[in-house]
Amino acid sequence: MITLPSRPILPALIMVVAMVSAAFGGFENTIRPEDWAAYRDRFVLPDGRVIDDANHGISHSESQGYGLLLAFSAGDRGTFERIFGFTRIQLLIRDDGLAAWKWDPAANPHIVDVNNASDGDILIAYALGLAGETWREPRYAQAARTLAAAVGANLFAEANGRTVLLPGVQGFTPPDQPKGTIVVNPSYWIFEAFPVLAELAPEYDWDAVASSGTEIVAAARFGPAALPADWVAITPKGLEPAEGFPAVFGYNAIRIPLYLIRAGIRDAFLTRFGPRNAQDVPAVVELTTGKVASRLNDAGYRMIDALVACSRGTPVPDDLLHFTPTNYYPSTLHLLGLSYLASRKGKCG
Amino acid sequence: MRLIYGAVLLILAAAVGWLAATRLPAPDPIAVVDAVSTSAPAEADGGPIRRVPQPVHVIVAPDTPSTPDAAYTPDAPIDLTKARPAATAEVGPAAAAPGPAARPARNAPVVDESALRYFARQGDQRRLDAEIARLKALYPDWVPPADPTAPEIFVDTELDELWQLFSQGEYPEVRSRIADRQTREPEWEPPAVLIELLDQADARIRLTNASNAKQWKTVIETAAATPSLLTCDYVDVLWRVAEAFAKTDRPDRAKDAYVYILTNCDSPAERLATVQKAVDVLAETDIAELLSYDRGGEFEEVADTLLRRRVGVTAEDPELTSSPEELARIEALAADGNAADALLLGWYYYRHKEPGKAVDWFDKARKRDPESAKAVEGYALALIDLKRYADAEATSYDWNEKSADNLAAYLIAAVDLLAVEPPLRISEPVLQRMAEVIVRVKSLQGGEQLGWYAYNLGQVRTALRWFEIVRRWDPEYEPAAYGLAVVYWALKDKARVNALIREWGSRSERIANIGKPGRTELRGSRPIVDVIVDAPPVRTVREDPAYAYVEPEIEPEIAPESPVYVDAAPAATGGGSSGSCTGTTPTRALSPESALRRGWCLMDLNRPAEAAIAFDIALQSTSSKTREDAAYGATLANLRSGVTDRASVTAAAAPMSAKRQGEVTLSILSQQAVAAYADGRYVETILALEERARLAPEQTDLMMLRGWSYFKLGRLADARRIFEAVARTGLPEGDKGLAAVAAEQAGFGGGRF
Repeated sequence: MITLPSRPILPALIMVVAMVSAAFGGFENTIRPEDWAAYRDRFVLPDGRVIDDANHGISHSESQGYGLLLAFSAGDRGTFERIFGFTRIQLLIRDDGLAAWKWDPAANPHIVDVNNASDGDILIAYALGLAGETWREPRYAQAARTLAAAVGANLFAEANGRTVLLPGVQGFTPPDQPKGTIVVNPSYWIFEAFPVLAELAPEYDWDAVASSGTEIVAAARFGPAALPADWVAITPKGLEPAEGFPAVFGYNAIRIPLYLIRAGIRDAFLTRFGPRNAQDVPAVVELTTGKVASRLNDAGYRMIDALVACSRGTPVPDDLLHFTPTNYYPSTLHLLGLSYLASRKGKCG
Repeated sequence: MRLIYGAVLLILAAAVGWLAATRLPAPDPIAVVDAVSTSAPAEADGGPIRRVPQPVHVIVAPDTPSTPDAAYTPDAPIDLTKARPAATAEVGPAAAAPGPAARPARNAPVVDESALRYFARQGDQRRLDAEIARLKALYPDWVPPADPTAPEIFVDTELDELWQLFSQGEYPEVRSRIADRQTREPEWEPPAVLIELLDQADARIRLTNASNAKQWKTVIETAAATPSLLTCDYVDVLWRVAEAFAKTDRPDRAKDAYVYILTNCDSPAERLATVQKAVDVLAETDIAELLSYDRGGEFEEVADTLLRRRVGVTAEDPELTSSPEELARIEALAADGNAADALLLGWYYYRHKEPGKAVDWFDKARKRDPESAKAVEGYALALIDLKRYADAEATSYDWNEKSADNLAAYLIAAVDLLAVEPPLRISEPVLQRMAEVIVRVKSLQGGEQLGWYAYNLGQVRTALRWFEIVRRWDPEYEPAAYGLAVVYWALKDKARVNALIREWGSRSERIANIGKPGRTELRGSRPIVDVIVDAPPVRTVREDPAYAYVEPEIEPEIAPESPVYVDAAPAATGGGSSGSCTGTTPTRALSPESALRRGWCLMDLNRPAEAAIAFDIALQSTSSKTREDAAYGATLANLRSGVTDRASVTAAAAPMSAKRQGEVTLSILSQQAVAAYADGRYVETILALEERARLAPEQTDLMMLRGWSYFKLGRLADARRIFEAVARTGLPEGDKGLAAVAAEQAGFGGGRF
């Protein structure tokens, strides 16, 4: 059990938000055309569907959101348009304006779970906001505003005096959870998106959400490895790995440092992540024991560790600077890392 | 209100030109949806122009204030009278559509003829004319090509490709190429007509997906934003919009959509399907209105559907009836072998107290549809009405876990079967499975009825156990308390009867009156013969899972200190000297009197199984004295070999003297107590000991048995009282028991010791 500090660590966060704002719009044309073409040919279908090939070729709001962000970062308007078209007519059908999260080509109807996933919503709104602004396309800007407002209206919740981001509209608050408990996913806080969303839907307090996110990432140190869990329960007593989910630092949480770095957040807690020595690779960690459940050797995962190490002064290894698509998820993380490096002209400081 | 909408409809008939220009090349509704994922080309509409459709703007217009509508409050209500003026000169998407679509009309220095060529190539004269009219209105100096259908060399081949792709249903590709071209040529604008058509195609797919996902608000908002979809070309869209209104409690709006289709659309199949869909969502008066749009016998099928629905209502309510003609029509419809009509008739006759007919129809229904749980449920209920309880139980058992209704039907069958008077002989497997279901679902009536069944068969202790189980399930269930009171009365346990009267007397007259002559309603119709165990049910019930439920699942770790066997040296030893029992004559060849002697002899040698055979032969004696002796001997022999049930049977086989009867009864009760304890049946242990205690003082070993039984049942105060009494006699077992009670009360004994 970890107790949140009685007062949010506000001063640090005001600085954080200021730094994030400086990074706004910095990712345009940061993916090399050949890297993007390799990704697009592998994972984007002609109808604009971005496939998660490790999960039976399904798609979800997250894959569509990543696809939009990468297409924007590669400056590929044609593909962005395709992905947006699919996202809009297939997923953005909920009455509340959010995206249905899960789409299965083998099912009919294709939407197999109409619940939303807030990281997908945020990625889509963020990418649309960037594209609408940069490319002066009002259709994107309008869709971004609608979606950002839907996130603000439906997914902000009060927990222990903070404004937190619910992972989805359904399932993460009482009565689906025990009384007084809210389950969150720290890796759904895509910090770089909040300043953009704040411009799109200024009526909601995005700073407060960004603040609770960094606070949770800092406070959620579970087990001997002192790492956050993929799913964290916020209870009146504090934070703990959420019941009903594996207590692991897993495929969700592994991208937290990537999001922190891309958002320009380099608080001390970033040092908790990343390699412990030169041979170390990222891993899924069982939090109760602190033991490694499985090592993640894919370049996309190693890229995250490399960026953390880079922020401490170790250059990114050459082999990670070249992109070869593997599976959807690590490939996406890899391109997001490369995009970040390009936006910083290869420097990590 | 509807009349006003009708008038607006008429005004909007003039908007036909605009509709013609914006109509998609009518792909199949499903094909459009799938086109996104499969890229299957949509079919071009080469067929004859159908009756000119009108926009069904009324469907999505906001409600009047008199019918406030929380779910649908668009910020900008669609007002087609403003957005789409009827004047021909202004008709067209460029004039009507906001945003980018409006741009090219004024800015383009060259008249964009691509849409015109596209319609010409499609052979769509109607839309070609509309596009010519539109362009003329926008560019008064423009002269249409002399032969727009003739092949032409296109100035803008890229744009031509876009139209080509569009006609193939490759909408994402078209969108993508437009975006790419705008990147290359920032000044370039796509034709407004093309964008309008793409938006319409997207809206249709999105609306379909939203409808499939039951996102009704999105359905209605999309329709409101895309009125060009609301025409006879897209009847599927109209159906989905109607459904969205119906699902959001706006049946009048749903009806408007259906009326629109029936007024304007000509496809016979779509018209029939429209009324059939309406039947599912609208009230009967509304459907009657829709039927008035019949153009000549086209909705006859629907009349049958409606008839089924009406009979469906009367089949649910015994107060309502259907006419013989109506029923005859359904029977005629059922003649084709369908299960649904048979089921409907089954329910009708069941609810109207014609179980014979109901059974026949349900039987047909379940044979026609072997998966139908409702058919089995109805069949069982009708059988119950016919008092064919055993058939009902047998039919419905396999289905009892299918649904709550099937379970209820099964329980009714089981309870009724058990309640038949005089009791039916029910086979062991059937009793077993009834008990299983009753225990699984904790059916109070079921458990109670098992209690009475056992009671009426003379199995008073089994009855007692069932009533106790039921009382544990629900301590406030009076019939369980009443059953217990009757059983205790039968067991002459006045203390417990009085306790129950104290607890329940004020609330239950029949419990208060237990034992008063002429007042107690004993539900048993057979005399109570307590000890005689002659019916198979007792074994069944003894082994039923109720045990597992009722009794603590802790194996006793100690046996009573000394086994309770009756001493083998009864005072009334009938003769024979020790050693003489090994004569050469086989036991079976002995005379009854000799067999009696050998029996006692074998008992002396502690060979009870052989003794029992000898006593059996002795029972055939003509002498009543010998028979009495033999019965006593056989009882003791069986007791000693642990065959309690046979002992009790034998005890009844011949009259015995009161003294012997007493000894036998004591032995049987002792042995029953031990056996019950060994089986973990502690309540029964105590009952046996109570009965025994009324006949003779309790020995210390039996006191320990009683103490441990109390302990197992969690009656720690009673257990301590007994153990203290034993401890006072100086036996260490008493102290052991006291220590266990203390540990249990301290909370760490865990019931073990």
